[in-house]
Amino acid sequence: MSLHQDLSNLFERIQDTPWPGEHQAFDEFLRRRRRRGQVLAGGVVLALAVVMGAALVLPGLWSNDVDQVVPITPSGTPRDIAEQGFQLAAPAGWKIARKMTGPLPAFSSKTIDMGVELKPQSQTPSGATITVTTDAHEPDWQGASRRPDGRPFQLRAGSGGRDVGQYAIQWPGYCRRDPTTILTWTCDGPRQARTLLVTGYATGDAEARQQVQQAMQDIAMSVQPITNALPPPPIPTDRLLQVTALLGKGGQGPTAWVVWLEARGGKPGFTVRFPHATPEPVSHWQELEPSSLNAQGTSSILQCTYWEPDRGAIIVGLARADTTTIQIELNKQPLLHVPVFGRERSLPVVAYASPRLSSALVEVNRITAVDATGRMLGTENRQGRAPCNLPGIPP
Amino acid sequence: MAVNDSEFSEFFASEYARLCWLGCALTGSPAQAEELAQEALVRLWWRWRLVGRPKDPASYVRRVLVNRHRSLLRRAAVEARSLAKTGPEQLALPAGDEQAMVLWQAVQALPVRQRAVLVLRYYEDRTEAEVALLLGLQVGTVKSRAHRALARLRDQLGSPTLDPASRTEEGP
Repeated sequence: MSLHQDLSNLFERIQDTPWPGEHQAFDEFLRRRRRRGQVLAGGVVLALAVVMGAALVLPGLWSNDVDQVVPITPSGTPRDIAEQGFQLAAPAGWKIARKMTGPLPAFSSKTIDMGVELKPQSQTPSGATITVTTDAHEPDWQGASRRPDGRPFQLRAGSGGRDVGQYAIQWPGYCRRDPTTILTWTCDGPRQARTLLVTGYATGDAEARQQVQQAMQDIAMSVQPITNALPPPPIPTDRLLQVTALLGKGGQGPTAWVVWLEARGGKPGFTVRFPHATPEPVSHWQELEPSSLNAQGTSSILQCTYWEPDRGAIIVGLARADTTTIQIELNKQPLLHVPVFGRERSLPVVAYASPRLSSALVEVNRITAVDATGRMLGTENRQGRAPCNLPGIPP
Repeated sequence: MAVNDSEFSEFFASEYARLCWLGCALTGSPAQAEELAQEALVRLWWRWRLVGRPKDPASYVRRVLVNRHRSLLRRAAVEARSLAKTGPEQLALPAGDEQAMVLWQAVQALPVRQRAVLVLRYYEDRTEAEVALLLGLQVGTVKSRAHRALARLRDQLGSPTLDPASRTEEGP
């Protein structure tokens, strides 16, 4: 295929690729629109003060489109509340009026999304509000009904007054904020209890309450898990034991490498081979422990290329199948981002290889698997450098 | 002039990712790409509000984005050259096979002005005359930049340092 064709194909593919963070973009757009409106309006005020004609033009700019730019998502547009692990679209006749925010526990200076508040698009039902939030406890799900995806849920009837009632849906979390960075997530911990709460309020008559309850039901049945509410994929050990499959090859010259899945002695694992190492090819087999791979995200081999005159290092390994990028944290070096390969083979794992690191003395601190949404799936703590001086390795 | 909110929301939803990718292809930086896309969409909205709906909003917003990128380049020529030399700090890779990723990285490594010509020719499918108009260049300059960009790509792809593209389907 010609380079022209390759470029056309590449850009055609890009056209249909989602952009990370797309769901939050409209809110950002509204904020920017408001700011620009204020700038425009300010400019107009200044100009008109000079020409004394403000009354003709100013109302147009100050009309309600300069607006109350509290982020309002159009009906039907899904809104992600990544922190609480849910995505929902307002049911017909309703709109997401605002995000509910609150301080991050133990870091009160940082505000996080706690949920959303929905309002009817018109003023009826009167005084109607629905909130969608989470709670870190779970009720007894014994006898609960189930959503189509199998999640148990309960409906608690309203207690009178404005209280229309509440849907409680099982919504466990599988990730938590990294305590050191706070801004990132790690998904290698145990399942954490959590309940999604859809709560309705109304001041109107029985019909109004009925309308609110219908909208609550629509939300409870359609809200979707995202980010930290998605469980890690199971790693089928059987499949790893049955398959011997090439995952990829790359590099060049003396540091060319090949990596493949290979079970040995009834244990799953993978082999990395450097076929052009001298005086003879170098191979390493590493056992793959599925639960450890799920928890740490990666299983890596750090290879010193001692057969080169200016010895360097290469990091090769496997990662969970939902990994798209590997972040390699080197001591006193910029963070290295490495794409995974082998996804097209639909195996329970994917593989990655770093570029050749120019010095074998570089220290590797952490290797982290990241998925397409930017979640950190797990971190392998290495705290070391490629073993170039071990016994048996030529000096 | 009133802006039809639902029409604009749909337009936003259908175009935002594409504009970001266009910005990313032009700048090599996801952050700058979002900045350009947001800025272009805000300008489109206000144009819509104050003057009326453009005949072709998709073309209009792209023109704004490219012009904005161009003026940023002009204003920060030194920085842009420096960026072109050092390469972007963080690449946003499109989904695809390894070969596509290698090509994407090679495109990102092109000097800014050569990359802009290639992106408009192949991503936006513009003629050389249209690219010249958009970038404020002579057609001859567009041709020579495209030629140099393609030659550089061939050069890069012919001698990769990290070579996942050379992977084959053979067994181990």
